[in-house]
Amino acid sequence: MDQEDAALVAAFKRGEESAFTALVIKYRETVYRIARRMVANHEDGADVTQEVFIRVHRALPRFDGRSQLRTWLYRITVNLCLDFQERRNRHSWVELEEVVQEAPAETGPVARVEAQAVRQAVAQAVESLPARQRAMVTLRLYQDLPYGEIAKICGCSEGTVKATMFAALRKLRGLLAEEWSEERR
Amino acid sequence: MTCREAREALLETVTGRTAPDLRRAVAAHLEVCPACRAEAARLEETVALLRATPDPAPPEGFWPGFMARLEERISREPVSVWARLRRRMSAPVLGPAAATVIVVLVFVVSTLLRPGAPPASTTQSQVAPFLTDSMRTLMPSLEETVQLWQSGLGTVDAEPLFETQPAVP
Repeated sequence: MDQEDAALVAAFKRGEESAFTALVIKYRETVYRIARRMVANHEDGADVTQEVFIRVHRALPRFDGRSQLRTWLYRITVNLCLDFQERRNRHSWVELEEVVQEAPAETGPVARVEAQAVRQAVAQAVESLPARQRAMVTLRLYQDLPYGEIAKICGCSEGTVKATMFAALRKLRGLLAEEWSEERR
Repeated sequence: MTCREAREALLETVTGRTAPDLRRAVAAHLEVCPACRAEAARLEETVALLRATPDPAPPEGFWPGFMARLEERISREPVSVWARLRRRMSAPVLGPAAATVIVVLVFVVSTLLRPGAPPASTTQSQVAPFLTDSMRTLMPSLEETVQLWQSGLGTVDAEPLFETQPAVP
């Protein structure tokens, strides 16, 4: 385990609540980013992030340090996002308007419109992926985690992660190509 | 490198984590294989488009409120006495010693307060048999603490905890 994480976990187990606060501050933004890419909007992302740290607070006294704290934390995050989706399956997965609004402003109006169109197309394509595929794409492309760690987080083999990623990227490529060809028509 | 091996390695290459020798092997294969080169270009374009979307960020000023809500929720979490005790006991040096002292003190006090318990003479003579050398080493002020504790209880309850009872005539 990362030395800093190990020290914080040990301090928390000794009863130092401030160690938990330090862990939250260290990981809250990454947890939020993973959650936000997997659930519908900021409010849901914030709810999931909060729930992740509540679960961590409950379970940390029993955390044995056999895996990286980060891996354990992201596993809780992904599982909560998958549960969240199960419960809210009537809801749109990601609110596209929000994704587009989150983008930084491009310089010229033409460039801005083009960039927004690209982001919208990408968001729509990613939205169409099954939840587990989306989790793997998020962890690999946006968190840059190695395939082995993604396998531990998702509870499957490294080979399964690679095969799933390959399928996801092919599907995304097909969807994006379709989108461009429709636009050009 | 075969086309199949190259395509498996492409995923690693395109998404960013490849050992230099594998990267060189893939590049060498792509130079001589137009089909794999086209596949690599498509994958690279897709990954570039996906990575172009900015990282989601919460609204300005979100985190202080988040921390306050989290703290508030955690404070409402039911924590069992056992869990509290377990966390206190997990301190590497003082934990076991403190646990032993607590158990001994509880035993001493419960023995002395039991109705019909034989009268005792003084605090030190009653507590002393239960204090081992290792306890004294780990907690040098233990006997003093016990005396202080007794005097505190004495002032509240008016009757000293370890006072000897008058002999029955």
